[in-house]
Amino acid sequence: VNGPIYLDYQATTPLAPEAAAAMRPWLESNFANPHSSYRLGREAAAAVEVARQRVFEALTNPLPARRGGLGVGAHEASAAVSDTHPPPTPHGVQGGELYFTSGATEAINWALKGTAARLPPGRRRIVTLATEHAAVLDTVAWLAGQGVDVDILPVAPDGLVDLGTIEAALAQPTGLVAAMLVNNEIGVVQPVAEIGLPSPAATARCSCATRSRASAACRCRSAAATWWRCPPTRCTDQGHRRPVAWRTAWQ
Amino acid sequence: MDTPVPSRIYLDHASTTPILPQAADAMRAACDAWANPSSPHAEGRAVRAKLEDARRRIAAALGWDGTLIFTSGATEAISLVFERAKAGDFIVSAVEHPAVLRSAPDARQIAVRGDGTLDLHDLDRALDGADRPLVAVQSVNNETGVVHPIAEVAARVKAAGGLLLVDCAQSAGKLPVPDADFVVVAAHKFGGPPGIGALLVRDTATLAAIGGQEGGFRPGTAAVPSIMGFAAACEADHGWYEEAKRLRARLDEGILAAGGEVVAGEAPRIATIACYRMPGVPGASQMMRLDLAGIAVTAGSACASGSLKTSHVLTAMGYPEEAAREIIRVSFGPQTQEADIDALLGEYRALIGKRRAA
Repeated sequence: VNGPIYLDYQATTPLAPEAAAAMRPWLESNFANPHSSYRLGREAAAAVEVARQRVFEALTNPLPARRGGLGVGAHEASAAVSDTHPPPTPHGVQGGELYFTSGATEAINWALKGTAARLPPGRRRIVTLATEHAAVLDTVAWLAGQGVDVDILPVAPDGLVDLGTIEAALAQPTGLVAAMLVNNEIGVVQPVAEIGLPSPAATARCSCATRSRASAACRCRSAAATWWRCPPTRCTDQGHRRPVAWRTAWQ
Repeated sequence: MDTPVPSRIYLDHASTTPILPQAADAMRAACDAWANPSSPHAEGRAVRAKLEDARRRIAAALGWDGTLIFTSGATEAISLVFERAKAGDFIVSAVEHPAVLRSAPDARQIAVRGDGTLDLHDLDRALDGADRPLVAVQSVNNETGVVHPIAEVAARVKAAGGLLLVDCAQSAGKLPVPDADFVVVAAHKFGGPPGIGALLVRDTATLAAIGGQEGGFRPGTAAVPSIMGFAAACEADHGWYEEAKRLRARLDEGILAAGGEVVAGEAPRIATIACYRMPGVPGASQMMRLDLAGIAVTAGSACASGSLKTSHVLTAMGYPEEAAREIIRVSFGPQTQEADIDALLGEYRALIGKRRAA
């Protein structure tokens, strides 16, 4: 009997058999709290750290040799935007840390609210795109209510943000840019690497600040931004869309 | 012949619990129904129906007739209330879980009495003149098992025009859920999976909505397999609690006979959590010795162990710093057997004997 045809992988994906198999021992026999200091707890903590490293390596694996790994989508994304701008680095996220969250929504809330809370008075400004997921738009709307200057940039008819628009927005001192790598409704790949590059204007305007450019956040739905290189960076994604969440340390 | 590997005796159910077989079964089945419950197609609607059914089953099992919002666990549910309850002053008991104390670091703290129960006179003083207070008192303390007088607290908070948040992480699945404005539950404390919990809300008008899933109160795709495990764990037979009372009485007796002290022994305590002091022996040493003997207990709560911080709970009860470090927590679940208790007592007596010899 043929099953129904499912063509909504952007909403969520079937649980991979490998993922189900990896979960099984933790449903059936292992269960300890990884924060407990007796042996069972230490074993659980070790398993979490091994998993953290595996996720991190899968997300940062060199491209495109890895077949079926998480980097494939990013390679395509990278190729799509590299006609005039070569991918900045082949390995993407350099260093940084990966924190597990309950999903992309929590990671986005954490990155945006956590960063906004630490921005100096002159740079309490967040730039994002009109086509972001509700998780970003709802959060920046909340931050706007808290007194953060939020600039929501339009996109061109092809769904992409114009780099000139980004540059103009970054001419004002900006604390954070939130841009999704792949749009969840139409699949366009934003030029996230270029958005993250220091803008001459921004550098000029912010030269007296500790950091010479806006820190940037990218949302990596559907593809891992393994070529991302603009620390401090916060990248998020969700296990059921393949990658998990990561977040580099605040500098 | 090889020495048989002794099987582990797990006596730290207050930290987390083994996932019950029926919860694991429910999760395995739910992994086959993986669609996003917010999707409008047939697959999504089918999962939505299961999700809403689980919500009803959990509320029914807990005896809750208000709203139930799924969260990633107790910590998120607690921080959600402190961020978004329509309230003024924060008032919390001094012995709350760190999840509460960190969510409300500037809150007025209510003292506890020497036996570990909430000081209702201090609560009255705090409520006097408070502006639309949000009061947080746990049902059961996670380190000592002390049961707080929630009905008395609720009456006072209501009279003061405030809102009451009760952290039931340690009591849900064992004791009835109290009547409060907000109740917090974590599935992994009673045989469900980690990473899922719920906020029970009496009147959603008391909480600011922010849009997204869960009626606009908690955005994010629902973790359906975890929710299915949560529901199955809620519906499990909790009749073993009577047996836990007997086992705990046996353990208390044995500890006292060996020369240990029962912390909060005079207070009403949940039968599944006990806290013991062995004078002169740091809790961390006791824990390590027992761990080597194959018995998992904890020195303080899991969240605080690993660090050498003195328990804020014991400190609030008036224990001097030295004495507050000499405690272990022993906690039971449905798998706990009398033989486990006797094995612990055997090791305990040996440990206390060594101290005397030293």
